Order: sequence, then C-alpha cells, then structure tokens
Amino acid sequence: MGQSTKLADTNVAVIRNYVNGEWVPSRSTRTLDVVNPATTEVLARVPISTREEVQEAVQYAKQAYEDWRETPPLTRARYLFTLKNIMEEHFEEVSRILVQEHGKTIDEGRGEVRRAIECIEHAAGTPTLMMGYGLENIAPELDEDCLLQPLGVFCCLPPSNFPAMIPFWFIPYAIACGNTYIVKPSSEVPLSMNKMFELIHEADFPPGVMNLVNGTREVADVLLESKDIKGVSFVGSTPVAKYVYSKATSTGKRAQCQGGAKNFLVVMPDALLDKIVPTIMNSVYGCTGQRCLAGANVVGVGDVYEPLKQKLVEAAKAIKVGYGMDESVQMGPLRSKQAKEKVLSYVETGLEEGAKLILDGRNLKVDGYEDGYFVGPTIFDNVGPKMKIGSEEIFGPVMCLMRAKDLDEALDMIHQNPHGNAASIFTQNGKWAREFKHRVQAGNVGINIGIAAPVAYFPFSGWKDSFFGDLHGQGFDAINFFTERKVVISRWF
Amino acid sequence: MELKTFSAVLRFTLQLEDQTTKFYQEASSSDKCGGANQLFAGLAESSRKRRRALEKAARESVDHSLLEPISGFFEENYATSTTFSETMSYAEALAAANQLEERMQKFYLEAGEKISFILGVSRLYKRYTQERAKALASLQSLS
Repeated sequence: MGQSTKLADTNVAVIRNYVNGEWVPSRSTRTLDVVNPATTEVLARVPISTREEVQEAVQYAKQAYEDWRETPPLTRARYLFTLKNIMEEHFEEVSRILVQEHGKTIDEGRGEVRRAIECIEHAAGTPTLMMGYGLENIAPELDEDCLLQPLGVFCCLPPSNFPAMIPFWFIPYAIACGNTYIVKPSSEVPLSMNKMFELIHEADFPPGVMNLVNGTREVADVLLESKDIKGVSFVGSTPVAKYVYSKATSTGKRAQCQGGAKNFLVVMPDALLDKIVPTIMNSVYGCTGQRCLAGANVVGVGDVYEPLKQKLVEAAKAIKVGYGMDESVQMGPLRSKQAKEKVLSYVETGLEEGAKLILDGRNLKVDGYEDGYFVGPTIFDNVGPKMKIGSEEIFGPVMCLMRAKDLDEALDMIHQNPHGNAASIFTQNGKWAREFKHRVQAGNVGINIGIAAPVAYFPFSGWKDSFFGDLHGQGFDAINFFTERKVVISRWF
Repeated sequence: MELKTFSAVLRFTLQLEDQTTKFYQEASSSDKCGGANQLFAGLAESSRKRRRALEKAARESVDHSLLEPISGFFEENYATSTTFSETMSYAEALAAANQLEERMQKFYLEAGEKISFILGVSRLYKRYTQERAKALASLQSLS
C-alpha cells in the first residue's frame, strides 16, 4: 500500500514522504494508525514529520521553482496530460483505496477520482487560461501589457472527506501556472494521496516540483510559518479555516480557506416528490453525510411537509448500510470512532432540545463488521433553525426536517445560519427558482439538484463562515490565485 | 438479487453482454447455423463494442454528486440462461437468439430509467435499447 517502510516488529508499514523526486522515510519516531472504518483494521501508519523535514521540503520546492517557472506552459501542461493518462490506468485502484481508508462506497470512490482527473484536464488548458492581455498605443508609441506570472511555492492542507479529489482543486492549477507545491494530507486518510504521488512519480515531474509531507497540525504550522511559502489552500471546519486564514495572512501569504457548512434543501409545494426524494437521499446520506455540500436541513414549505416527510422516512429506511467494497452497499461507515461519537452526541442533543427522532440510526449493526463506525440514516422532525442540531454542522447521516410557511420564511432560516456553503430549492416553478437563486446567501446553489458541486472549470464557492479569502479553488479563480499580475509599459527609441 | 446502486446495475449489464457475446460467438462458428453465421458474428462484435463503450462511459460519467439509491430493480427479471449448444438446430438457435434480444431490449429500457441520474450512461442504454430492437428485426427476417 504505497511507498512505505516496514516497522521492525510489525507487519504494518509506515508510509513515506515524497520530497525532491524521491520517497524518503520520515526521521520522526512518532506515528499514527490509519484505520479502515468498516473493518477497524490498521492499514498503515503515518509519520508526524519533523519540523526540519518540512523545512527541507520547502527549500527543495523553492529551488525547483527557478527552473519550473522557466518551463514553457505547454511543456508544463504535457506533464499533466501524462499524469491524467496514468491516473486513468489506476482509476479503480485509487477508488478502492478510498473505500478502505475513508469508508465511502465504491461508486463514491470512483466519482471522487473522476472529479480529481477533471481538474487535471482543465488545468492542462493553462496555456490559454494563463494568457494575459495587452494594448498598443496607450499613448503614441507606448504599449501596455498585463502578464500573469507564478509566485513560488504553494501548499495545501486538505480534509479527510475527499482525500483524493480536494488536493486536485489546487495542485494541477498551481503547477501548470509555474509554481511548485507541497501537500500535507489529512493524517486520518493519507493513503490515497500516497498512491497519487506514486502516479505523480511515474509521470516524471522534475524533482522538487511536487512534494508530500505527512503529519498533523504541527506540520501544518511549519508550512504556515514558512516565509518561503507564498500561499495556502485549506478545506476543513470553520474554526480551523479561520485559524489557518489568520495565520497565513499574518505571515504575508495568500490564503483560500473553505470552512464548514449547514446546507438547506428547500422543497416547495409543487416539487415532484418521486423525482426529488432519491436526490435528497444522496444529498443527505451520500458519503455518510460527510460532505461540505451535504444537505442537512430539509425545509418543507406549506402543505408539502407531511407527504415529503413520509416519503423521506420510507426511502431512508431502505438505504443499505455496509462496507463500501460490496457494490450493493449504498452508505458506508463514518470516517472514525471520534466522528461517530460526535454524531451520536448530536443526536442526544437533538433529543434534549425537543426535536422528535422519527428514524433512529444509532444502534445499527452491520453483519460481519460489528466494530465498524456505522450510524444508520437518522431523521429528526420538528427541528427549529436555532436548535444546535439545526444550526451546527453534524457531518453525519442526520437529516433535520423543518417547516416554513413560504419561500420568504425558508430564505430567512437559511440566512440566520452563519454558514453559506450551499443551498438547494426543489420546484417546477421558474419564478420561485429564480427568486431563490437571486436572493439566497450561499455560494453553491442547486435548483432541483441536491449536491451543487461545481465542476472543475467553475470555482468551488462558499460564503460567510464557509469561506475565508477572495479566490476559490478550481476554475478561473484558481488561475488568479496561483499567479500575480505584472503590468508592463514599454517604449522603444 | 436487488440491484441497488449504479455499479451493481453496470456490473450486471456487463455480465449480460458477456453472455450475449458468448452465445453469438459460438453460434457463428456452428455449421448448423450456416445461414446466419455472418449475422451472428456481427452481433457478437456489436456486443463486445457495447461492453467497451459502457465501461468507458461509466468510468467517465460517474459523479458522486449525482448518485442516487435504486429500488425495485431485480436481476431475476432479466437473467438469461440463453446458451448456445452444438445440439441446437438452426431453428432452435434462431429462437434462442430472438428470446435473448427481446429480453435484452426490455433490460436496457428499464435499466436506463433506473440509472437516469447518470445521464452519460443512461443515454447509452437508450441507444442500446434501439440497437437490440434492430438486432431482433434482423433475426426475425431470417425466420
């Protein structure tokens, strides 16, 4: 499983860092277990890299930048074409690693790898995307041009829920624009990025252009403090996003920090329930609710509430929970023991707050995986937007049902929440849809779509406490984040 | 067995196409089916092409944000035990082929509706419904 060094007394391997084109065992003696959340098997150990190792990686990336920025954009793009082809060959392998280390289903794993590849495909168009512009004769015989140039070394601190995909919201754009890069994966799920770097190694990028250092927050802090890192991309919870943004910008870095979410799905009275209920199932329970775009609060407007509730409960009861390697499984376990405990704690809170638990997934046991971190689909009725379960991110398979008398009330509920990552409306009425699209304070909006996940050539937006920064990942935003403008006025005698 | 996910439906589809390929491959090399050898060989090749296209389309179209749970779709309703045997007469082989195409046409139509959330693949299913109908028409013209 990836590049690793076997520990002396055990069969579990310790994964390595990838620095300056080589796999390097960490000099640290501290490691953490990487656990399969369905089987609870220890898959590998991940080192908590030392400060010195991280600083060395930064220096190698800085050295590599000098040559890499001089490489023509098309040549840089060709490396991405090569990487894309290699990733296609290993598509299934990476998908299966995701199931094992994260717990998602095999379809979810494949979907994640596909999105990662799409970012590479889009970034390979950088020769066009990175073009500046110019104008002759701004004054007689004076010309003015605006160039986009790379800046240096960037890094990302991706989360545990999409370990293969999210780093690729950033990496290929940064590299294609001429920067060099360091990834610090989540220490809970480092194996898919470990595998990706095997493929990156196979693509034969020049040494130092892409680097991987493993570890926890301590490693992240070294990167955030480094004067040689020009920018940071982060995805995770809102408190940590605020911390990273604050620390990065206080040391002069660019930062784009995606935080948490509490997403509303508004169902209008004319919604086609039989069409939208499966979509809502994917939105709330897909990836076991562990997505920043996951639906959390389902708002039934007017008299749709009761029939909607009935259909949602019926559909949720039918969801098959299990180990994602089984193709028939529709929902996997939570990522970790701590994640499961957090979700269970929120269910307790919901009961204390007076919400009505109409589908209880707490005591689910999966045959053959009795120790796995499973929680079944769970539904609360009569949730108020000010309740903790109605306002805080649970990050698990828990649906909160809310009532609104009309669209205005539904929008008020959404706007009261400090987050603004995503929101969806389900309706056949163009006027309501347009009203929602125009007024809702959220960055990723769905109309009859449960997970409004922007594709690679659009920015992954997010508002309010769901995002800190100016430029988002993916799309033109990525090109602008990873380049600086240089304006040149010229005259010849 | 109930097929509850996109990949479960796809796996079953590929299984059915493998059975189709095998049937036509074997039938095309049988002396008793001389009158239809070329047609059977062509249908075997079409089946192989469909398999490749389905695998590619699934890999390129699967999107975690669009996946939906599937219900009420059972393998047993479409499983085929249609196999070619050297003891089959030409008429028996044609009848078996007709039955195979009818069943597969129904399968592609109904499966396509179940996986409509991944349009890139469900459109292929719609195309293959028509392809199987055309194959059936070709077989019926020989009867």
